[in-house]
Amino acid sequence: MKDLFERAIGAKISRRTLLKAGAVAGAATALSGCTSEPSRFTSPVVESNVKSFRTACPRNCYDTCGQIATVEDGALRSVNGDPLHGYTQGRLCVKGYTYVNRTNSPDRLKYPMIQEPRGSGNWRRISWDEALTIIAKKILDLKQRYGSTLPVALDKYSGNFGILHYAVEGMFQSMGYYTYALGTPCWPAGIDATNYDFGVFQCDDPESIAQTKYLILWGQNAAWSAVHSMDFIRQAKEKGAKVVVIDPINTATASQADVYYQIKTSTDGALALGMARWIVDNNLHDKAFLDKHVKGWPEFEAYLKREVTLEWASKTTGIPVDGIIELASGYATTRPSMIWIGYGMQRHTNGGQNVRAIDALAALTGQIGVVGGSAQYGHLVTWGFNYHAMSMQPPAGSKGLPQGGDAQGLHGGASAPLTYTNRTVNMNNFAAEIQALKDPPVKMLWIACRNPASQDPDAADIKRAFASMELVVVADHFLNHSAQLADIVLPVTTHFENWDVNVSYWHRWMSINEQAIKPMFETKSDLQIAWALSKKMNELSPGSCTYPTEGNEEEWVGKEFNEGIYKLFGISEWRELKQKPAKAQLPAAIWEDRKFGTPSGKYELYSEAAAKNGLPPMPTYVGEMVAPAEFPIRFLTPHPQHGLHSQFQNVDYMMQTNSEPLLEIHPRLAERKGIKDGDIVRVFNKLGELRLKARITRVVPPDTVVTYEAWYKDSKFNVNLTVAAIPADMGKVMTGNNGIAFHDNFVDIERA
Amino acid sequence: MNRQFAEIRLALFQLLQAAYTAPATPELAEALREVAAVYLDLVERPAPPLGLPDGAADVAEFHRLFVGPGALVAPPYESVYLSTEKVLMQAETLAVREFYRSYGKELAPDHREPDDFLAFELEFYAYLQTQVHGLEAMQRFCTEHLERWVPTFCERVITATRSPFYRSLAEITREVILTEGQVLTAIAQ
Amino acid sequence: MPTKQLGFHHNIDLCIGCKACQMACKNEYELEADVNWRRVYPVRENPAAPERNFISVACNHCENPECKRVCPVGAYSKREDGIVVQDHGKCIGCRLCTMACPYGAARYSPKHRKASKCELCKDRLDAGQTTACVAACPQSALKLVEMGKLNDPRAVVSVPGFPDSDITHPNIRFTPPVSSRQFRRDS
Repeated sequence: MKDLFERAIGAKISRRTLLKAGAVAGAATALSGCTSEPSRFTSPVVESNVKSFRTACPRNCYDTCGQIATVEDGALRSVNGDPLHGYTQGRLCVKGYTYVNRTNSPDRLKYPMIQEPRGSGNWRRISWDEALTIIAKKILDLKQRYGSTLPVALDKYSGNFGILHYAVEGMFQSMGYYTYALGTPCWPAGIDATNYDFGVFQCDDPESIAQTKYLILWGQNAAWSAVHSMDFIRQAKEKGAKVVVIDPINTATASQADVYYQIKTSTDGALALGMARWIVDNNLHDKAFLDKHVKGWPEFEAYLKREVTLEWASKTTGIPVDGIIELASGYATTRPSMIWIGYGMQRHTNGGQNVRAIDALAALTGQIGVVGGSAQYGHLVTWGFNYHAMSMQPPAGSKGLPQGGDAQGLHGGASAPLTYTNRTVNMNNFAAEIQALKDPPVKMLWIACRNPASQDPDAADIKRAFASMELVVVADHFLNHSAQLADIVLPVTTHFENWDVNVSYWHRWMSINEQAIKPMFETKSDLQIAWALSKKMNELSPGSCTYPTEGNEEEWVGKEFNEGIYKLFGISEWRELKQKPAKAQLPAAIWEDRKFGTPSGKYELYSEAAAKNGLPPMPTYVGEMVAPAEFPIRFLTPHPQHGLHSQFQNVDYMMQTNSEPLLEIHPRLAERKGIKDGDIVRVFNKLGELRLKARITRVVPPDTVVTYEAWYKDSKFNVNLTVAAIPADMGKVMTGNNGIAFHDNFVDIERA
Repeated sequence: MNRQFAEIRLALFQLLQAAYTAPATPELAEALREVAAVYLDLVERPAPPLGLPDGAADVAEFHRLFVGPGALVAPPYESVYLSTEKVLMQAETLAVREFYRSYGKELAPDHREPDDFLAFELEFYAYLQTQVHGLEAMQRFCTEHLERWVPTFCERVITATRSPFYRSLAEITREVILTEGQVLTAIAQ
Repeated sequence: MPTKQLGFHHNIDLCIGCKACQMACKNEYELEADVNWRRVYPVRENPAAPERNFISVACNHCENPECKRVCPVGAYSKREDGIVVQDHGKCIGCRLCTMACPYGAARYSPKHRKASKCELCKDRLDAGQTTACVAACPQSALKLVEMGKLNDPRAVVSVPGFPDSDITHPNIRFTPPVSSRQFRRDS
């Protein structure tokens, strides 16, 4: 660098350019001076500013872990289990331990962004103000064109189950009457079944699993989907309990069983009925309980004697007669004996009916209300919050779906007042129904806590549904399949970056979720988005949205609490949760008073309510869906180990731990199709196809191939390209719509 | 060092900072082309020619490389390159924050990007230029931070970008940072 | 000569292969995505009773650690409590340890051009906690034990698929799996 400075004197850079440099830099400045005296030569000793916060995993998971987040100088450094949580006991899971990796991922959505045109991949950053202006203008435009906000639709489910996230529903309600996806793809058939049988949707304290002497895990893969329960199962085993797993797949849970029954998929009702028949034949049923607490026993007994034989059950289920006898005998004579019914088991066309047949075993043996007994499915008893974030009123004069009154104005004159309501669309047949809506059609879609492009059946039709919209907004953490189809993506906070409160649909604990770090980049929580959008709506059109335009998130947590919750959990102030999670004070065996919520007040083997809904009144056997000749192989796509639906698997830590989906295929089937381990297999049916690497294994049955649904980073892999929106038999009563028979998916395969 | 050279350096780092903050405008590109060409000639390094950004295509490319919404091609954050976990908000980020603080600077309260975002590091570096006794700070900041990751970041951009503009920008940035050590030594003498 | 020897006891029978142990370690030490100080491997299917079994291995803090033997700069040493530790500063990234260790305990980072491995969470132990992996195991399948004081009649030194223990005398014990009785559809 000879004569560097001398040469610089002669360098020809215009004054204008130098000034421009200063100007552009000035516009982009981020740094500001400290208030403290700067010391240029020394690095002042700053004490390590390490803090801990109590957080709660808000995912759709039985375990809803209590967590402790460790933060250093405002940065999330590690996340561990909360030792004071009585169910999760200080541990997370393989997914939970990736939370720092996920929260700090450089690939997170950071800013609102817009894609023009939609689907092109040409994204650019816009400000929140711009994003909300576009959105608000579209909502107001649709309202103006159609006379209501019914053309705006919300598809939201369980991506974040924190109570404050119901702000999204509140946000839309506060603008008017809107269209929303009603139902749940997850567990509704079993909920209705539980309701027909018990009358109330509740179950025992799962910690009482440790007290049982005989546990049947029926279509339940706790090792992958409720891993903290495994400790209670292990405790029971240590005390001598026997564990039986019934599942078409030899899962990691099944590998822990004393006895594993590889049942023919979707025939669970037949097994339960076969067991019932044997129990009755051998006089092991509890006549006193049946007399006093059960409605419909004589009719059910007659059915068993008339139509159920062990040979029939064996033929239907593929389980040898002596196996059924062993199971029935073990269950009926080892007391207390408990059945845990999994959600995968009821994702069939006869799912609800099968759950009823299994519940019947608990009634038959008089074990309902006995600690360590009964049949367990789930509950919502700890969810009695105010839902303040959701409970908003539409602006006066809002129009929606007319109900009551003289809707058509046909008769003129004085009549009952016309009221309006929201419009619903079946969450479980979303693609087809949202496109079919008329008067008015749906023109705008908002997706929050949901990823329909990955999770809904008929992924191809979901794509078409999105394409038919004028505006699609997706609020999420990453650019997943739904976000890729959006016009605008809104970056949301992780639970470490907002306040919330969480409960579980399985255990009985409640956890506070303290905000551990400031929202990164420009992320906002769903609640903060609601405030901001309301503000923008009212700026453009005063009175168009009744949602508060600002607030304090921590205070809003407080607003969710009521006397009922305080009494149930035995706390007097919600801030007590900052010290430790609280447990609902309920009897371990929830039915100990034997008071059922059915019309008869008894457990109903015979349910008139079911009959009224076009279902068999009793848990009689309804056959499984049969594979069509063209597609003879069942394709099971259960929940994965390394992700929770489309969350976690895309994170770097997880991609390294589990890099690609595999197709589990039995050696007999593989041989027939000329497939070797590691070959790429084409899995296809009328709806679509997938290509997957084969893993030859005998842990799956010979007539079934299995892969686990997930979103892998940068991958188009999506099992729902082949899954049709076939409804399950139940779910409508308690959740608005019947469930989805995800596991009645039939394909053919060939070496690709 | 003389005033002229100082002015050129200040302008260079200010323009680089702006180039990584938002998609480049034609004005920015022209100014940077001029300043970079002169500067790299002075320090006897090859000067990659910098064209003009290609309208909407380069706006999209800026986002694809540095912002999102998809997985970033070249995350412009020091901790992604230097931490073991290769994510944001790591010990390296806090070390940069500490460095800023010790020279009387910190991020403005409304900014919630990590402290080790490239544009912030460049802005801070340009600030040090204007300070009396800033030279020692610059030497430290360059050795402890910029040199350790910016060249790797630039290489990622160069490999992955489809844009001639962003390719050249990365090449220029790499040349500048790789030369910093020598230049600072020359200034010190 | 160490005064005591700490090591892991992995109960394969209880293990469900959930990988909480593997991930808890990464979480604790902010490891790179592709550096795993603990690894969970599927065990070969037993043709007589196929099921899903797993083995979880970190570092076995061997009696005769190969890493220590081959390291050209003497970065490895064995402590009084039997833990084999590495002076990370000394490591020159030659990778001899990664090649010599039969268990894959030493992991190389191309980014940092150094090797590293499980050190039995020595700082956590000093603070009276157990190792991150043991703390995370939902099945209590992974335990930290003092060799020689392990009270499990079924515990063995090696299982099929695990490298021959005669070379390094690894301080790890396994409880082999007992398969479920199965009613299968492919018999």
